[in-house]
Amino acid sequence: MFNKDTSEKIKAAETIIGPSIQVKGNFIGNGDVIIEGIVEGSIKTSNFLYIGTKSKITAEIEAGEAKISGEVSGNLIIKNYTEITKTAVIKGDIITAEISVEKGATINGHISMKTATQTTNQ
Amino acid sequence: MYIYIYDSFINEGKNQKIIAGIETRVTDLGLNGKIYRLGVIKSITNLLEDEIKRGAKTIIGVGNDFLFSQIINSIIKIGDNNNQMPIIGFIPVGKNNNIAKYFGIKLENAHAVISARRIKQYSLGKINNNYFLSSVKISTANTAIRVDNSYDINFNKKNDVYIINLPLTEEFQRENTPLDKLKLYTKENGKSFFSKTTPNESFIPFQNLKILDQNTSVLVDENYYIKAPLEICASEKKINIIISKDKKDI
Repeated sequence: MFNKDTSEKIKAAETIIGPSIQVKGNFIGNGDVIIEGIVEGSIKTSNFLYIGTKSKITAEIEAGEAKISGEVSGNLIIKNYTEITKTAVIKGDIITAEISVEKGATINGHISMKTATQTTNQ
Repeated sequence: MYIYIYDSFINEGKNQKIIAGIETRVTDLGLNGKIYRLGVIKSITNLLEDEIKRGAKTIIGVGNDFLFSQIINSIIKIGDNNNQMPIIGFIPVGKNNNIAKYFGIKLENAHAVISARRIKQYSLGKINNNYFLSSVKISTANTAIRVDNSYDINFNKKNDVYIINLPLTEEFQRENTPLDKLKLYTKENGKSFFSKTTPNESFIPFQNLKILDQNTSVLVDENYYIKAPLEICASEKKINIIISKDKKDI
């Protein structure tokens, strides 16, 4: 179940990739991006990225902030805060300034803590 | 000078009182002009082209979305040739009036809106060498779509897919929607278990979109069909429409 904050972000998001959609290639979003579908390739946004419980992502990910609740195979570079919920399954490295990991999440990869400036210069 | 184009259903008996009311208010407000009736005229485009050459500056559609779409598309075609696009107004009658509703116009206030003459320019979308005001509907949702020459979209289910320029109906209206871009919209039919908390719709702004599958045809402005291959993008072309002061900025 989503908390109120995520539900509000979903309503206000500029881009939503729903569960009936498959994206292949280099996806660049402006504004908040919500993904509940399948993405292969790369995902980039300077704002908030939510990867929902139904999503399957095989991509390199860059975002300003992220909440991960689905399956991700690929590396993540998140400039500010990363929230990983209990339904997340991540195979890849994570570089972020701040992180929280809920009990039950699966992560196979390295986690590096870098400030927002260091992440930008990555 | 005003040119009024009446839809053919306006002539039905039940609408006679409405027509009488419209024509009385037109006279009272000094908005008189020429009246043409669909069904009698063969081509709206040819008619409007002749009238524009004679100096017509304002075209008013009296009817519903089907007529309004035809007028808009005719004006766009004529404007493409001579860049002198007249101003368009609406008097909505009966059902299926999302275009007038979007511009804040109802039958009750239509004459006041036309008289007040509050004009706004709206950008058009471009599909190959044609233009559209509100939307393009892609009914063969299994087709692949290339977006911004950067990524491809495939659809897992057979849903209707819309390319939106102006969000005429509520389901297409969202906060934070970029006004300078077209938007791809699709929604899963039926409810999912998670429908209240998980979005089952997709909404993707873009600059350029290509449909390469030649089996795909699309419906433009609920008006006419075009076959793929197709390229759809925002256009610099604009159209002038008389809108109500109550029009919300969406």
